Formats: sequence, structure tokens, C-alpha cells
Amino acid sequence: MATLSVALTGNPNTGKSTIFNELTGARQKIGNWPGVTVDKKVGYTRYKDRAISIVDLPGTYSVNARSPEEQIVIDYLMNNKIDLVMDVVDSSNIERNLFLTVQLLEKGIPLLIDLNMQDEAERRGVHIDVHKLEDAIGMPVVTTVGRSKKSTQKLLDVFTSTVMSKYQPSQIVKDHIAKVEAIEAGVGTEEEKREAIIEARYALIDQIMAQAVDLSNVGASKSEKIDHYLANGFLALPIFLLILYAVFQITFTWIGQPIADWLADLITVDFYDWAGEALTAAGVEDWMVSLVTDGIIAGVGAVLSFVPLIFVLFFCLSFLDGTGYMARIAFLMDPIMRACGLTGKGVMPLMMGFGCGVPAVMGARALDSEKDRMTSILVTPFLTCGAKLPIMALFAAMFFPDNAANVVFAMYIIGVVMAIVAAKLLGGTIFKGKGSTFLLELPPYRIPDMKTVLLETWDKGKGYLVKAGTIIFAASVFIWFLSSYNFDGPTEEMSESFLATLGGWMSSLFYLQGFATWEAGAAIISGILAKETVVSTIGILYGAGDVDTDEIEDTAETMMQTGMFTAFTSLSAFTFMVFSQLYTPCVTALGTIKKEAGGWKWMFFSAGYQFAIAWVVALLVYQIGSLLGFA
Amino acid sequence: MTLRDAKVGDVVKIKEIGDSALKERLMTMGMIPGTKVKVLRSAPWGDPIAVRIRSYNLSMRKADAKSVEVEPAVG
Amino acid sequence: MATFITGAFVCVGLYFALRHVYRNFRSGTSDCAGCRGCSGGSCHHCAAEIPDNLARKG
Repeated sequence: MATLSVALTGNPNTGKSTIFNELTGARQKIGNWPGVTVDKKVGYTRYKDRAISIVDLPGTYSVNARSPEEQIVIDYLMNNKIDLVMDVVDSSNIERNLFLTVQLLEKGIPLLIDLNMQDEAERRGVHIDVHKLEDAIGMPVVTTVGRSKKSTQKLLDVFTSTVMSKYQPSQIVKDHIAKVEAIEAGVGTEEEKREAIIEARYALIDQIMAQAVDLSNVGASKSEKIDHYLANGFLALPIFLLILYAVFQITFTWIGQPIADWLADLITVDFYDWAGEALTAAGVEDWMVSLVTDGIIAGVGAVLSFVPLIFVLFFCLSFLDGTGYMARIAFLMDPIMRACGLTGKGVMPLMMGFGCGVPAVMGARALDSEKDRMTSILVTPFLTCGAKLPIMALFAAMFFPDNAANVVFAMYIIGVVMAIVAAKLLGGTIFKGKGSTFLLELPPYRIPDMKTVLLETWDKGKGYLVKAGTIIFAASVFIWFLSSYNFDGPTEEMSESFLATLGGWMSSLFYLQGFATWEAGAAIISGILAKETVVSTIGILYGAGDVDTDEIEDTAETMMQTGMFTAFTSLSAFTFMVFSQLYTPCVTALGTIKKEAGGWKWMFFSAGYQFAIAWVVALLVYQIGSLLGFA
Repeated sequence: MTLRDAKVGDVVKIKEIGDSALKERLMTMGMIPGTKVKVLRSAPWGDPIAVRIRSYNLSMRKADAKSVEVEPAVG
Repeated sequence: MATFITGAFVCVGLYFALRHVYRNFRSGTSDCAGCRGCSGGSCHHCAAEIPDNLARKG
């Protein structure tokens, strides 16, 4: 039998992705819709000897083809032969969810309606009579409760049955379609017609609701009660900071860092020694042993040992995302964003910037006004992306072992503050114009589905692993070469290498910032390639990985070994962190900025102004710190 | 009065949505003449506001709420 | 001999690594760590559009 093709559609926040993940598990392919940067998720499964392919369409409130997502949904549904289209409806929010349902029915698309989160709706007092709903719409209705084996089983049973052929739109739906056609054929401007059609749709929805749904027992929802604390007035801001702080503690103190320490020890000490001995024993010449151990293992290892941190952080963010709290952050931050002439919705792309600047810069596309877009693009790279995180984690662990999480947290705050300041400056000078609008659903709070959170975490963290194996690997070899050779050939002393010369030039800019060593200069240059290379360069130059953070305090010998403690004081290390946080974005981000902002001009502007700002801020931090007596 | 003037806790009924860049989107999200809206809360500094409409929660700025013409309603 | 073999391994590794970096560059994609786009229902993928000719070659 041919593969059964199923498409999932529905509003955002309906648990559609959870259903998709439950149905297909890890058997999914994530690609792109042609021409746009929107995920195309296709998954596969087998049931009763039937191969089933499932497409998870983007979640949309309507299909007016105004956003790329809406365009994709309608194009896909109209132009492909699909065996079954399932419209996932959040039962407790059925009224507004039905808008999309009605719109799809107008297009003549037969639907299987899935009343998801049925349990949640019942608890809230939303009582839906499934049979009456089937009669009112004329389409089959199933109920599910999100993540449950039984629901998945039920859906697969329906998919493989021939239920769809028995249904056709009810009389009231047919009447509605005739009415819409009449409006379209009638007189009036396009705008008036569109508005009349929207009103007609809600009139139909009111009719369906009256027939099949009992809302008489609905009180204030649990989410509204929670929001009384989490999204209300000024109390909500400290709670927001507290939640972020907890994420940091989990990542840098409780779970992530201990695993990272263990892994760093394993790679850069045990494996390093073992590989060195094994290669020497096999008769490999010294320079090649050095390339493999001091170059590749030290460089790639320094980056790899931060994988646990990255995954723990992304897990926390995906988890928060799944709870629905992210929308509250946008709500809370809107006043602050608006003060900078931006919109609270801009928080979403900015939050992406904590993962990676590249999608964050792309995500700015979703913002309405040119001003919002350009400002977002140019300020996003100030944030602490996943690749800067290892720099912060490394320096914090070495120089501030007792306060590592706090120091890293401070770096995140500095990044955010600088982004806000820069937005304000840009908004007041280069991009003058009207600010945009803010209209956002506050979805119900939910306990996230673990499978979805884990899949998302893996999806996000994967890129970091791939980078370690490719660009970081290549850069490590390159940096090893630069650090071991000069124009006269191999050099014993790193301080006479190409890298020392290059780094020396760069570092001459940083006398006033307290880190004018060629090693720091070299790390800064390499960081433009990819931020992780700052860490791998330091790993190669200082063998930083050799130092076990637990032993730092009592083993003076280890301290001397690394040279890092002679090159940096606590204050200059802190200053270096601040500089790394703020300076020129990596080449990939710069390339994206060129593409999204439309030209080389903006790319060079972005590279230049961030370097300048970082230089000035680092100067202030170091000089004021010195005056205050820190060292 | 407009939705902007409604106090936290008020329940109002939409009379009309005036011209605004958001008009069509507001309507798509369920703001149709006759729909009841309850003002739930506001963000720090009083703006944006969160409202309950058609049994879900929506947030919007006061500047946009100004274009929504409302009248007092019960429950 | 052992040096040669080790070197060959490193070169093969470098070849694949650089090819990957080059392809990313050609197609405008990136291995970004952490796409935060998948909130609010719209999922902006990390990778930009892949030109047809490249996509077909895989």
C-alpha cells in the first residue's frame, strides 16, 4: 500500500509539536521550506503495516498568507495530495482555534479535528460535546490529551481507517461558505470585505459554540492565577530575574559545570597523555605528536569540554519555552523595549541570541517595522551566545572559582544592558521612525513534554558539536601551525612564532585594558573566526585544560604551569571577559548581518562599532576597577 | 469609552474597532463587535495590558487598545 | 611511516572539515548552536534557504 500522508495544522500553543513528536519519535527530518527560513518537519512511522508520513506545518492563527508561515500552510494544503489533514485544536481555547478551522473549511479542505488537551479543558470547566461538535461542523472529531500512549494509538487508528470519506460539511458550514462567496462577490473595498468575512467566521463560530460547547462553569484559569504573580506589575521583574538566576545556578554550579569539569579532565589530561604516549611509542615524530596533542586535542578538547554546559543551558531554555513563560517575558519586557523604541516581541529574537546570533538576526525578519528590524539585527550580537559561553565559563572557573555562576550571570547582564543602550543610541540617531506594535497571545502554562524538550535541546546543541568537529578542528590545526612556526621554520619558543607576532600587534591596542599579552591578542583575533576559538586558542597557548579547577587553590605549581595566572589578574581577566562579550561578531554572524541588513556597509558598521564599544567599555571597567582598588 | 480607559478587573463589550494598523489582526484574534473582554492586568509601568477574550489571554499595548471602542458589560 | 599515517589522517579530517565549512559558506547555512526560533509557533530554522542546485547534490 502507498504511504499514507498526513499533515498537522493548528494554532500556535496547541501541543501540535508534542503530538507530532509522540507520533514519530526521533524518526524526523528537519529541513527547509523552499525559499524561506521556516522549519519543515517531516516524520515517519508505521502502524498496522501501513507506512505513514507526517508533516508538521507551522502553527498559525489564520491562513491569510501574510506571513511566510501562513503562506506555507495554505500552499502546502492546496497544492499537495494529502490523504488526511488534522487540525489540532486546544480544547480550552476552542473558540479562537476554530477560526483557522473555519478558514480551512472555506477552502474546501476536509479536516480531522483533534480536540487536544481535553483533560485540561475539562478541569477548566470547558465542556465540549464531541458528537454535537461533529454534527455542527460535519467533520470527524477525536479527543486527545497531549502526551499519552493511548492518544497516540487512537490517532494512528483514525489515520489508518477510512473515516474521512463518510463526512461532509454540515449545513451551517455550507451556508457560511455561500455567505463568504457572496461577500467576496459583493460591493465594497477589499478591506471592508475581509473584515466582513472575519465577522462572518466568528458568527459561525458563535453558532458552533452554542450548539456543542458549554462554557457556563468556566472561572479564572490556573494560568491567570499564576500570572497574578509572574506577569503582574513590578513584582514580576524580580521573579523573572530569579528564574534566570536559577537557570544559571543549574548550568554553572549544580549540574552543568561538574560534568564539564569531569569531561575536561578526561579529554585534556587523560586522553591527551594517552594519545601523546601512544603516538610516540608508534614512532611518530615529535612535531606530529605535538600537532595532534597540543594542537587538535587541546584546541578541540577545550571546546568539547563545554558541551555539557551548552546542553544543560539549552535544556533549561527549551523547558522554559515549553511552559509558556517566554510569552510573559515578552509581555514584561515590552515597557523596557518600548523605551528603546523597540517592541516586546523583539525579545523573542533577542532570546534566540542567547543561543546563537545567526538565527536571532534572521528572526528579526518577523518584526514589522524597518526600524525594529535593523536595530534588532545590530544589537543582537552583544548578547552572550552559546559560543561565548565557554569563554565566560573558562575564565570564571579559573579566576572566580567561588563565584563562577555570579560572574557569568554578570556577563549576561552586561550583554543585555549594552544591547539596550545600543538600541537606544541607534534608535535616536540612525534609525528614527515610528515604533511598532505589540499583540501577543499569553498561552496557558503547561508542564512541558519531556520528549519535545529533549528533541529541541538536541536539535540546538547539535550545531555546537558539528562546529567543534569542523571549523574548530581546522582552526586548531591552523593556530597550532601559527604558534609553532615563524619565517625561519619551526620554533621552540611560542613567543617567537607567527602567532606571537600577530597577537602582539593586536594586543598593543589593549595596554589600557590590562591584557596586552600576545596570547590574549591572538585569542581575540581567532575569536572573529568563531567565538569558540577564543577558548581553543587559549587551550593551545596555555594548555588551560591541564588545570583542574578544584586544585587551583592549593597547588601553586599548577598555577605556574599554565602561565595564565601570570598573564591575567582577576581584574584583567574580568575585563577580558567583558571585551569578549561585546566585540566584533563572528564571521558567520557578520555574513548573516550582511544578508539581512542588506549590504556590506552594515556588516562593516556592525564589526566596527562593536569593536569600538567593547574597547571603550573594557577600558572603563579596567580603569575604574583599578581606581577602586581591585586587582 | 475605549479599551484603554478600562480598569483592571473591568468587563467590557466591544462596540467597534476604529481604524488602526492592527484592525484586521485584532479581529482575527477574536475582537469582534459584541465580544466581551475582561481586563486582567498590566505589565510594569501599566502598559501593555493583558485581557481575557474568548476564553484565552491576549496582551496588547494601550496605544492599540485606544482604537477599540467599548461599553461596560456584566460578567 | 607512523608520522606519515598520522599526517594522512589529519589531512583527511581537515579535508572534510574545510569542505563542510566551505559548503556552509556557499549555501549560507551555519551550524549555529541554539535556534531560539521555535517559540510562538513560528519556527525559523537556523539554516537559510539552500539553493536548489546544492540541495539536490545533498
